[in-house]
Amino acid sequence: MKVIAQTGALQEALALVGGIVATRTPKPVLQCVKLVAADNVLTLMATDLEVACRYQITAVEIAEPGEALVPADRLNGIVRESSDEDSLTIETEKQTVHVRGTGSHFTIFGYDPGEYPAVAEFGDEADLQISSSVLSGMIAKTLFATAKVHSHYAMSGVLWEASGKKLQLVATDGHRLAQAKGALSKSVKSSATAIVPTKLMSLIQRVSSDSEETLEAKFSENQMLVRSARVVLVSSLVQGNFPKYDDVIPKDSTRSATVNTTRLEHRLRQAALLTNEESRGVKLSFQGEQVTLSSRAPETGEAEVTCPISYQGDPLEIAFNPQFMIDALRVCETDEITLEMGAANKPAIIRSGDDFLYVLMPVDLG
Amino acid sequence: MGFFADIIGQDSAIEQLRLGISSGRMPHAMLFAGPEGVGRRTTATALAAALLCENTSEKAGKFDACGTCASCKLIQAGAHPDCRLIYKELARFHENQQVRNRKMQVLGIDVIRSFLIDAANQASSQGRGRMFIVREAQLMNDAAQNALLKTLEEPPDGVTIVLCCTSVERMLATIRSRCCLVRFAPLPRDFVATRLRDADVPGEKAEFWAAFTDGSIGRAMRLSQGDLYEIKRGMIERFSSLPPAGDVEYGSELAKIMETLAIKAVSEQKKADGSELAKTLASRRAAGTMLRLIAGAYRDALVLLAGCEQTLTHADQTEEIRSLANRFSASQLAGILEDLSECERLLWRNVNPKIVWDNAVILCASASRLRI
Repeated sequence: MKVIAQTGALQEALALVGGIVATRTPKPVLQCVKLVAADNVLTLMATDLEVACRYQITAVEIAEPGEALVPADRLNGIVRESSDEDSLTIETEKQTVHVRGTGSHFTIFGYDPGEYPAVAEFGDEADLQISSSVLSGMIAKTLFATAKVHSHYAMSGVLWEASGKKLQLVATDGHRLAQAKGALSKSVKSSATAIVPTKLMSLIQRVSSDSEETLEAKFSENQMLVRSARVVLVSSLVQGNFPKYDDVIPKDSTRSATVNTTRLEHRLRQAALLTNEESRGVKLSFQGEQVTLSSRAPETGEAEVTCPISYQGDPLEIAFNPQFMIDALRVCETDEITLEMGAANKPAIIRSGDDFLYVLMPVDLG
Repeated sequence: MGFFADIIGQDSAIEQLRLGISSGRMPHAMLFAGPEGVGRRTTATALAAALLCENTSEKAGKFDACGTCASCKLIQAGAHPDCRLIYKELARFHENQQVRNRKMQVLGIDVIRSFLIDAANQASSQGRGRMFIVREAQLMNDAAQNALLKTLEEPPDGVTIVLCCTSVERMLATIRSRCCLVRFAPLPRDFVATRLRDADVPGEKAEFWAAFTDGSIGRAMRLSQGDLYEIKRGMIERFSSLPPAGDVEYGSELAKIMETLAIKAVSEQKKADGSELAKTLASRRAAGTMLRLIAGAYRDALVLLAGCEQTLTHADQTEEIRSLANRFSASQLAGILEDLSECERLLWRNVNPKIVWDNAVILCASASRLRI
């Protein structure tokens, strides 16, 4: 293999690809990135056996097609430190890789490319298409609510449900549930559901953060593939059954409060200052046109702050974990949110526009 | 490595597995039990290769992997995304720093959780199922075994878990009842000796290691490399001619030999598959081997006293064995044997190795019982 590639393009590619390669693995082969040069494209492949990616660089000149398997951190380092070079020549000689600049020559000992796990190709037909900014926003609204503890595997990912022209993402950890809705660019042929690992979700966010483009996604029985202009991301899906989340969303809320998002978030942060490990709850007392947030940390002190709201319903005292509320308020894009509640021991709903819904279990302060 | 056809001497185990595959009723959890080095892991890898192979064939009615497809190549390279090997040294690669820095003497719950249970809940990358092979499963502590129960009983679709262990008794009853037991028998002594000679181990040496390792080709191969045979000859000579008052120097010499062997084992392991072997564990294993070599001589002496000469382990040093047999009575020899095994237990309980070796020398010199 012999290719001449622009340093900038290589740097950009390796920054993403290098982040996927498993940093801690007993197999040296898995710490590598695979380079494939063919048809005027240099493809970089990486996997950590859960997620994988193919990154295509077109700003290359391929003198001789071929394959190479190179330790990712070394190649990344060399390319990063070669910012003063316009282009780098990568040439293989059996399993050894030579990287040449105008005044530099690096030799890296690689491995047999045949020993690298295959990274699936996207193929032609996509199951769904969505704008990258819409998807990125939806991911931000759900990703934080996934379960981080072991034992609930199905909840460790985000549920994707696509039907018609709509996509819905749902994440829950048993204490709260976040649901975001978005529009697809084109309606799907048949509805699709899958539980997608958080690792892939954050990668999609990284890929779609810098530019506005249309992303394509495809589901197979075990895998999900996402394609942007240059990158294809592949991930195994999470196995298992996602909880029946529809039953958790309360339908009979008798009280509702509309409140300014940033103001409530600010007040919550203030009230949360005087909570501790044992009493991680902030009590919200709704009465008239204001809500009083109060907290108490044993042997430390108490806090009481008020916040104006517009409220319908009988007075109510209810307590929440402030962090869980702040998490949701932070990702709301609307100026105002609606809090819907039934009773002090029933779950409450935070709504922000039509696209975001958040179910939150109250805490019992005794 | 790695195909059913290449595995010799474990016909009944392999037949059991093949029957499972061809009848389509493969158990999802299996316990491969047998002595070290008789081919449990090789068989497990072969099973993985056969289950994951892209074009498994039935050659002459025998189900096996093709050995040429991409999947088989990845298995041989140890990089197959759907075939994972779990061993205690994986703790080195755990995401949590505390786990990484821990001494790796047991197969802990953190390794089992993040490398087996979590990984099992992802879908397979190629859709032909997934295989998890746990090496040295007997080293799992109770917490790790208990954590594994649910996954063993109801693994996610397509997941097969193989636990390789040396003794079934070391596993919790709850683990045993959830696994299909596949027993691996020790290999015949002649067979091991022949294989050693094929691998260019000289005749006398080959005979000795074959006898010493009780039909474990893996252990025999490993022990016959290096200079352990010469060390053993030296030790038996020295022990057979110990003065009754003992030898003050010899205890520390033995401790030093143990250290050297341990350091060598660590570096060999590193070279072989890049994995790390804990130094303490290595020196305990080395001590175990040395104590068993020494005990072998006293056992042989007991066999001689009983009037039998055919089944000596140290057949290459019959003279030394005879002198031991002349020096001690049968009950003294039995006492020494008992206490030598106690020495190994003491080392595992963190008693200072130097003290243990000093006592072992006194014990073997005078047959006075151990007093630690």
